[in-house]
Amino acid sequence: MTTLTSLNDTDVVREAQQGNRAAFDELVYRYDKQVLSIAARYVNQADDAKDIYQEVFLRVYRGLKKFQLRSEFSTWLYRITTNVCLTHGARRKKHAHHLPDSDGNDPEDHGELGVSEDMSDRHTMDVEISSRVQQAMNVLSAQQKLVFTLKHYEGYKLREIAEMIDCSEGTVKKHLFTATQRLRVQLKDLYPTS
Amino acid sequence: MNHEQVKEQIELLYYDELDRREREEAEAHMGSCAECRSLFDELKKLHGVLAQFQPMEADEKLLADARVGLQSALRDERLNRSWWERVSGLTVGFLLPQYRIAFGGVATITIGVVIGYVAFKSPSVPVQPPAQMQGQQAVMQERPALPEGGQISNVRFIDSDTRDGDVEFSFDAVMPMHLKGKVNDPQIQQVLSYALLNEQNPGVRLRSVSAMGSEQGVQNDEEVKHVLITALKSDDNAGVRKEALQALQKFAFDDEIKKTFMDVLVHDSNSAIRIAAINALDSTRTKGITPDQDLMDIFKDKMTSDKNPYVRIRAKAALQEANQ
Repeated sequence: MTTLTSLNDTDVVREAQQGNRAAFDELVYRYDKQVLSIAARYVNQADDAKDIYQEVFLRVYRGLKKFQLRSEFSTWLYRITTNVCLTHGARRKKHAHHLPDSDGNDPEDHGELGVSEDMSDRHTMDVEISSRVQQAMNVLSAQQKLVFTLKHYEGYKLREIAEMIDCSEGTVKKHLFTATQRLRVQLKDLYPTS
Repeated sequence: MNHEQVKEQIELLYYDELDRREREEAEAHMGSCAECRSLFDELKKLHGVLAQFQPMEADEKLLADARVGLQSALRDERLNRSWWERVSGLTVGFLLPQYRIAFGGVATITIGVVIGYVAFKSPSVPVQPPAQMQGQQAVMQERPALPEGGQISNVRFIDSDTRDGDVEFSFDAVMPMHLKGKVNDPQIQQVLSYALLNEQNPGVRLRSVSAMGSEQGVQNDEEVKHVLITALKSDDNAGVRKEALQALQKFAFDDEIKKTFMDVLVHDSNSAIRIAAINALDSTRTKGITPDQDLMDIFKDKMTSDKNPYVRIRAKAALQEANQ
């Protein structure tokens, strides 16, 4: 008998497909940190990240018996993860409230993202910049944000991202370029340009 | 590579996504092209700004929380599935040849009665509410009654726009209940299981796991065993995990418990729990269970690679005892 930890993914998946709970847990242990990391960086919010994490593994659990091992388990899992991230974004957008901020500005009015002039404290400045970047990220479409997060914050190669979101490398490049271009426009006042 | 091509590839150059030849060509071009150099510099500055924003990371606490939530959701999923499988099983049973005719007859009569009822029932005169009340009543009919004495919490707005006169939200209505009974009562165990897997307060989880692990509580019930396994693998509180491990030692030692203890020994971040797992696995020898090769391999691995010296010593001792 061999331990689950010593088996490769394919064998652990086969075990899990036979109803071995420990095998399913082993698959979760192997990949859940990466799944949660992608979710956390994508939504930047703990509860939403946990929702995505849970939805991903519930979908894996429900679909595992039908998974025919034509692709790597990790590819299938990351594809589910990116799908859940994208649909989660769509759901959030559908229910999004246009709550004005404390100054009465609409956060979706992105033309008014200026830094207040009287800030002298460096920390306050950092917080402000961080908030600006976050707002600029939220202007991106779900696909652009996901590609940018996977590339910039998670460090995946474009080829890997294409596999994860099931599209061509060219499409990934397009999303990445557009995301960078939009961020550049939103944030250009934060750095000197030549 | 010409100027336009390099301009398009600058971002890929920044992310080290060009192959060696493309990179060399792009760098050679930038050496003589001020515009491309400036674009590359601007990209670096943009990334300098972006670096000041670090989105949240999945730390151990978040991971532990997520795992607890997942185990609870999986448990619900399994319960739902087993219920559905039972229903499907019954249906399949009914469709066996010997039941098919009887089942068909009963179904035909039932359908006939329903059609007759719908076709010949006396028509009721609907009371038309005033026009302005109709929409309101439709919502009222769908609205569940609030429990008397219940507490409302976790209100989440779905639609807070009052321009159309409506608001919509979801919330939790918590009804206080009191329950007293034997620890092995299924209803008591259901509440204890829920508390162990879902309560935020670690003290409540600890008391739940202690009760479930008491002599009266342990009845070799499979569901209780799985709840304890879940807590041992996922609870973020080491005290709760240790108590769950001790409770599981009172169950008949089977393959699932053995694998769980081995998993804990390999994965748990707390050295005291890893030592408790070694002790639990080692103690099975006194029950006449010989450690197998998998367990010996894990002991060997822990003996040399565990970061905690006492775990290494304990694993070495367990291995020596197993080899005797």
